[in-house]
Amino acid sequence: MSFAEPRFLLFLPAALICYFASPKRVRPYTLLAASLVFYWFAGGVFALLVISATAVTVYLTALRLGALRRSDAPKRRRKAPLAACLALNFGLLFLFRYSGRLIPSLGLLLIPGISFYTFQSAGYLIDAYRGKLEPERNILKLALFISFFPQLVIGPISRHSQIADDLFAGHGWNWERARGGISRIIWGYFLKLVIADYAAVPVNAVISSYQNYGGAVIAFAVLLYSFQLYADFAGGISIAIGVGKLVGVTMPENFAQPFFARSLTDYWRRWHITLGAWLRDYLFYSLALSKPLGRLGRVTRRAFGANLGKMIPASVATFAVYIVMAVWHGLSFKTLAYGLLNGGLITLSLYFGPFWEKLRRVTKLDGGRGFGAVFATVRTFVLVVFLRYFARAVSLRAALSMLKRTLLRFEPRALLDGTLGTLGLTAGEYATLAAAIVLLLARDAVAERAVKLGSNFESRLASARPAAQFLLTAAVLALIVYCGVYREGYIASQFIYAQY
Amino acid sequence: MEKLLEILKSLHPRVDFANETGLVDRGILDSFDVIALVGEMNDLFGVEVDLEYLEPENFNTVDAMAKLLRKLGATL
Repeated sequence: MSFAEPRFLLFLPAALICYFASPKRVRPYTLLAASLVFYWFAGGVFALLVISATAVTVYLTALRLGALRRSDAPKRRRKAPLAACLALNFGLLFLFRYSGRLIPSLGLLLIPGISFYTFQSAGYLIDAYRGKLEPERNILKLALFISFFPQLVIGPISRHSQIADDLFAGHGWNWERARGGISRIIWGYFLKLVIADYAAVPVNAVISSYQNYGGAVIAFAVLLYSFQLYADFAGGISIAIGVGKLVGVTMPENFAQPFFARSLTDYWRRWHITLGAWLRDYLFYSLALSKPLGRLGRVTRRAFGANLGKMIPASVATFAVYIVMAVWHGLSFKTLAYGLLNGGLITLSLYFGPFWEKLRRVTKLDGGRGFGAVFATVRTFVLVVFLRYFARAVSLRAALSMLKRTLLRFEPRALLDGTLGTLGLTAGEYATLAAAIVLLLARDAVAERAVKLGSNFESRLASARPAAQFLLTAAVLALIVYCGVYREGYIASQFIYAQY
Repeated sequence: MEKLLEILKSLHPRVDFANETGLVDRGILDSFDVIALVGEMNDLFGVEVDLEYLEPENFNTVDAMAKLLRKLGATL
């Protein structure tokens, strides 16, 4: 089951009624039962068996790690159960994600959200290994942490310390919280149904037969795809966070106005934040501070001097992280190229950091204010759109060919000669899409300003005049109804990130 | 303490480290800085900052870093 399916709109009220009708102590178990029903709808009995295997192995291993830690067992004795459990669960993830590609005769058994819950479970296990949490003794509570239905198929990837107390508290109904939750859900559907699903139409039309289009139309499609992907993923996350709020569970945010980033590193800090934090805490630091890379650092510092030398271990770890991220997105040359390009550009920015700093001083352009800030934001946006060629093209060859057309056969007249009208959207629909994208950017601009003032978007919205709040909600709802319900032949598509 | 401030100044010369209270939370120190910082701390103070100490609260202020170093047996 996906948030975009009508049956979710039946499931959610039913789950909420059962949850709030339960006695406080029983509510976490009601939530677990609702999560299992949700997952059963989403992936069938087989998916339930696979997630149960993860819950049981993680539960037992974490308890064992806790016991070993209490008995002051040496690190290497604690490493064995951790490694075995991680290997088993990442093995399952790899098997179900890629079996169909590697051995086509096996077919592809889809386990929805397997990446999200595997990463979340692995984080829990590593935290137990590092002594950062007391392992959960109640297996049903751990099962709820792993399978909590709003985040099950699309994230965010939460840490145990972030949501466990809320999950097990059995919070009752709270109007204030519910209002915040409903507003997040409405915004999420707006992003998905009005922006993502509309933008998908011309994007799919161009990308599937890019050979028929000039560079300008291809660039237009990739630009739209950048908004589509953001709206699709952030929309799903917004619905997940909103549903969580209804039952009193505050999940971590996954996006922080990514299109306002001032550098590629900054962009990745604002995009899919919970995966980025996971990769940083459990992979990047482990690699960069590992003994082999520590030795490499000492050798390179002697060979290349302190500044350059100390960057080399960080660069190696960066490449490793982006390659893992690329493999997570799919096993293909284009995702590998995407990962290597990101890792390469970020490493370059690391090495050229002192040079840019000097240039900024000489030109007196401050990246944090005025023209300097606008320049940095636009430059980053262009870079992000360029990288999206590799994310969206059907193959590496297609991505390179699309880039070649963009650079060598731009043909800008195609943007005005009616070609865009043949891509599946009418002029009115393009106008609606454009207005919706402007609304999204305006919302992010307000949120960006709120963060600078030490607040957040929700607080800013709550302090706005009731009439303004009402008008905004009414406009967003009207657009959802107009675009998502009344458009002829319209069927909401699956969330892009639900395939992971 | 002076040595610690010197390491930090070499990473970001323009930051007022002595009075900053949210070095990690406010994004002044990113993960690359933390890696470089921990490498220098290990070398200069003869300690081993383990992964379990890589939490924002240990790196948000100079005092927190000094406290961590003392906990690991360094003399500042």
